[in-house]
Amino acid sequence: MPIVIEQLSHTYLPGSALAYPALSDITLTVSDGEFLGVIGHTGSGKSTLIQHFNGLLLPTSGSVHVDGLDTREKKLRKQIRSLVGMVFQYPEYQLFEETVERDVAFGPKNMGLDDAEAATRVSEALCLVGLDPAEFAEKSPFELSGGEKRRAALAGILAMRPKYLVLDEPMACLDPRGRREILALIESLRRDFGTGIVMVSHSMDDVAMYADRIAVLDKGSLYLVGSPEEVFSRGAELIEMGLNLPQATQLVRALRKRGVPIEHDYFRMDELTKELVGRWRHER
Amino acid sequence: MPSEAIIKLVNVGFQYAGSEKTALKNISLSIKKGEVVAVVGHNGSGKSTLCKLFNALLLPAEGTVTVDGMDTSAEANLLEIRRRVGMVFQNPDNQLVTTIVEEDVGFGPENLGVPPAEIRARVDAALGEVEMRDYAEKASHALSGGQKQRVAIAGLLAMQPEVLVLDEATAMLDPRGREEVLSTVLKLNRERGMTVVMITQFMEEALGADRVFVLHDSRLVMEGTPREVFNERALLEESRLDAPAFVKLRDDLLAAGLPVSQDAMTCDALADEISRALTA
Amino acid sequence: MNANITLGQFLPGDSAVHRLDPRTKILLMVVYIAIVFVVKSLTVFLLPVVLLVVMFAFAHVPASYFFSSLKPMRWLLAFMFVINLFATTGDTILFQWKFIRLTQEALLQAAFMTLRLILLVAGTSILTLTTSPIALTDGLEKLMSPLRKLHFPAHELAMMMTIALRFIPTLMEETDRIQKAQMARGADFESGNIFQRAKSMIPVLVPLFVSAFRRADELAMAMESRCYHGGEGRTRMRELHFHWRDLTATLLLLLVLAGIVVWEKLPL
Repeated sequence: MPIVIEQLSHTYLPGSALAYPALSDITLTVSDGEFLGVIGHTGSGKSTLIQHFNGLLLPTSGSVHVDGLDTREKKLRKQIRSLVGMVFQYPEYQLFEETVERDVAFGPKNMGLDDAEAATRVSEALCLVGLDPAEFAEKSPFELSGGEKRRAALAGILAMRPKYLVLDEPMACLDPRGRREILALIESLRRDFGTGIVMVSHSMDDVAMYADRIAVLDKGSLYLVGSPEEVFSRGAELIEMGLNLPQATQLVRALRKRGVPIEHDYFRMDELTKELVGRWRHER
Repeated sequence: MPSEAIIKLVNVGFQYAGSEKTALKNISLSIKKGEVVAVVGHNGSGKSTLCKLFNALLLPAEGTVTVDGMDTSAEANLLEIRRRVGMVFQNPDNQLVTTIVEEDVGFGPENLGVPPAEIRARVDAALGEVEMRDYAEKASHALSGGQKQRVAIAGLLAMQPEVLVLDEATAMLDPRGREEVLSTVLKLNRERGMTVVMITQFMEEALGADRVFVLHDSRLVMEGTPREVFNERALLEESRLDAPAFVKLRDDLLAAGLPVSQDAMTCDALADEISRALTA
Repeated sequence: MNANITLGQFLPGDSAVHRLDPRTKILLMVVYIAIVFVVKSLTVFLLPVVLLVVMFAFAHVPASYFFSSLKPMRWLLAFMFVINLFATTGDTILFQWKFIRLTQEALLQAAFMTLRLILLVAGTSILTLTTSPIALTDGLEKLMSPLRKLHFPAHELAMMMTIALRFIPTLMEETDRIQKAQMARGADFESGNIFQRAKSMIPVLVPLFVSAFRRADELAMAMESRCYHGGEGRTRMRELHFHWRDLTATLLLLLVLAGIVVWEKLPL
């Protein structure tokens, strides 16, 4: 069963002089095991949107259903939050326990799992994020390196075994290898466990590489949703919104401007490379 | 390009108090006046520690650091060194001291004891340089990340520095904010001859530099022009880094026999080369 | 997104009140507070009420700011009112039901105490609404500077205030974010008794403190980089000057104070 968002609007401080409409009339479905990329300029409503996925924010109008459960129902919220894992930007800032093990166990314990089950979940999650439980479980989360903290925080969400994982800029401030490792982890969750992924990112290349579909937000509205191909073929509109394009798409546009007729809207560098090499060989 | 060194490190070693790990090992380098230098390296490679030596926030345990000939470990030089070497930090929220934009820009000159009328003039000029004059009386917390970083740069300009050091100052920004900050410092370099040192995680940013330093496990492992450095793909990989995507594409095309120039490392340069090769 | 806090908020403007020297405004605030406390009867309160209305008018501050400055205080105000209503003894019984007794004296006393608190809050919010944080701390620093001879850290205190004001919105946003991150992990801040609720705040407070320390550390480094070395030899971009209007305003308020003292003493 999917996450179904219907005609969602959200206004901050409604009814006051400072009322600020952040989202208007958004209809969107996230299917089981799908990888949805969410892109949009800062202030386009991305953060507001994703906080609706697990009822941290509630619709001013419209509705959000997670596997048929309405987020407006207070009784269902705990269940919804264990279905939808939410990884905020810089999740390492949520670490608080004395040991990594206890911190990762926070979510499972809140779900009401017993100690034995929680312990299983903790070591499973730590292994997933590449932190060896034997080495890290007893450490204080505050003595880890930046990249390890990020992964420990991620483990804290994965230990709840969410069916959907919502991530806000999960690679921010990591070095190139750190970024690759986190992306590989997210991709493997989808592949091995069928976890549905919603990822907000400013990195068009990452979104282009992994997403099945991309939702483009602009000024609080859903401007466009479609396959990477559909979305990035409308490069001019994205640039108009202040967004970047994947580097392959940038090159395709630059080549067309120079009179090189490339018909296909490439958005992955490996495919574009193949095309260019093919052309070169053909010309010879 | 003038060849006078403004920052010079000779055999510098550093270790944080209470830490067993050495943060920097035997580093010698010099940064010339008017140059744009990028320092790249993985998380924990020591690049942030390195740049804190440039304005005496940290003092070397071994070796010497000099700024314009002044030894950073001499207490008497401290204020003059910090005036000359301005530093922009990573988190835009943690370096603005006061609530209102123009008052924050005035903070540095106030510390230096500059007369009030001149502070006013410097603040207005500095806000103009970073294109933030319209925000002079606004509250800083309501600005975007890129705007906050530009205000931080204005705060340094008001102290009339010779060098701007950006310690991963774009890491927490969105692409537009990153672009704003980069174009601001590159403009200052072009028009004012400002020396710029960028510590960065984004290899694409290093492409705009005159020289690139690569740090790996507390050591300086490579130094050269972007072209020289990004040609050492194996060494980069070993340093846990990545070449920019267009450099990789260039190499893949070269390997397949396409005659593209080694100098083409950006989208436009590569498009020129490819269109020439394909239409020839 | 906690934007409904007016306390400590600055409303930039160019009114007569805005242009007063911050030192004058701080001193006037002291006089005003004195007035509010000197008044002992509900009728004499008319004077500070008029004064307050005049100040709001002169400062060009919309009345909505008056109400929103009171909003965070509404429970305290209600609490004050109720406590005074039932804790004050009197003879003129207005209403009695079993052991609950409401007297006229208590009603007057409750109204009086609540009004006093409202006047205090509204008056001080005039000060913060019309004075930029830096002007406020500059003024305080200058006023306290004679105490420096007694090794009183006037500059340091003023700098601490500046930084505190600067970081209030940042830390509020951060609290909201951490709270949401923990709620996403199933934390519950809403149910349970007072002890359980206090305990449930640990996952928010620990990260908040850790982050506040990190911010303090980074800010200190940024300040050092910008040549901050204490108050010694520091100049200010905006110098403070007394003008005629400062004198006028002070005299006016002192007259009101004198008037009230006299009125209170008169057998009306």
